[in-house]
Amino acid sequence: MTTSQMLKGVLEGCLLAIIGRGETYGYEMVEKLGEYGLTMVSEGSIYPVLLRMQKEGLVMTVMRPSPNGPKRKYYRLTAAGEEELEAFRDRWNVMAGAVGNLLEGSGKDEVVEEK
Amino acid sequence: MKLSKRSEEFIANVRMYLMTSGKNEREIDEVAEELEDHLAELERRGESVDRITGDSPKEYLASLEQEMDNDYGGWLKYVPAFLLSFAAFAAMGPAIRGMFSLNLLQLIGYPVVGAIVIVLYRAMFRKMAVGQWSNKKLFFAGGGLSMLSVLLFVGVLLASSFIMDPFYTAGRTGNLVVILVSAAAFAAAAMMMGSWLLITIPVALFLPEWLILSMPLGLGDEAKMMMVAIIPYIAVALVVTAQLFYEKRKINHA
Repeated sequence: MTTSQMLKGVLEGCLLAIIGRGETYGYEMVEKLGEYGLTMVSEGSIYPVLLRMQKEGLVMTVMRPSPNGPKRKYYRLTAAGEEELEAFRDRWNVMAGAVGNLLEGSGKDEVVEEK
Repeated sequence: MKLSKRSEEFIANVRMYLMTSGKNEREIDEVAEELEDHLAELERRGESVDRITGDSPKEYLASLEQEMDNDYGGWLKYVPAFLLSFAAFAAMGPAIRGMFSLNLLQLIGYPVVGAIVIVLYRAMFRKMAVGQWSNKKLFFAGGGLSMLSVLLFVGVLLASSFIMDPFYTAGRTGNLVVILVSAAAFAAAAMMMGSWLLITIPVALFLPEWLILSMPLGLGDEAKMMMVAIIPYIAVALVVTAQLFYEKRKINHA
């Protein structure tokens, strides 16, 4: 499994975190993810996720002029988005801890003894 | 900032693909604008559209399709135009030949053929959007499909007239009325769709036939029938491919 594939499952949470740091737009989100070492094979895959988040009311958007062309869509978290980000943070900490333990091998002996 | 030809084509393909999946027009515009902005940023850094789609444009389009709302209501507004032009296509040819009549098999066969043709065109547009088609491929697919649809209509017309008797046969006045009403129907449908195709295709299909049949060319009936059987279809194929090239040029020069 590549990093890009693993990122897919947690992309929504990562986007929530990026948008949570201040109003931003599509390309900039990809750049910021990249700065954290989260690179994607298909950068366009953020847009279907952003669409869904918008429909679920996690983000709100506003169109503003950009240096490139006529309009650019900026994203901001809603109150529901903030809540979801907190929930994601909790789930991620549990998950990361559990996977970390599994990979370190701690706890393995106890499981065997219980049998 | 102007996008490269390849990027412009990609955006056009995204629009085409999402439109043929019956997505909401406003949502399509929003997504297309975001992708345009993203592509402009990529190109400024010397990157290409591959960064957006990754390995598989097909998978990327499918993922967009999945997240977007269907809006079949948007398509419903085309139904009256479709019915009008459809009926006019079926009626005008026989009326020009002075033998407009109706039988039961036609009443059933034409809608069935119409549905088949729509499904085929939709499939072609989607395939075209997913794979980057060459002009040659576009020519053969577009030309071939338009010929096939005309042949299907003629097939129903011929087969039904061999099998059963009509319940209505038009006289001289009746045929003239059918021609005029059909022409008006084409014009109305063209206005509703905002497309010249509903004027240019009927003209290509029916004008040569009318000219050949009504002009004293000094040709035998057999020679005339041969010309009538071939020339309109070539004319239609030319009109359709010319339109497709024109659309592509418009995209490239936008």
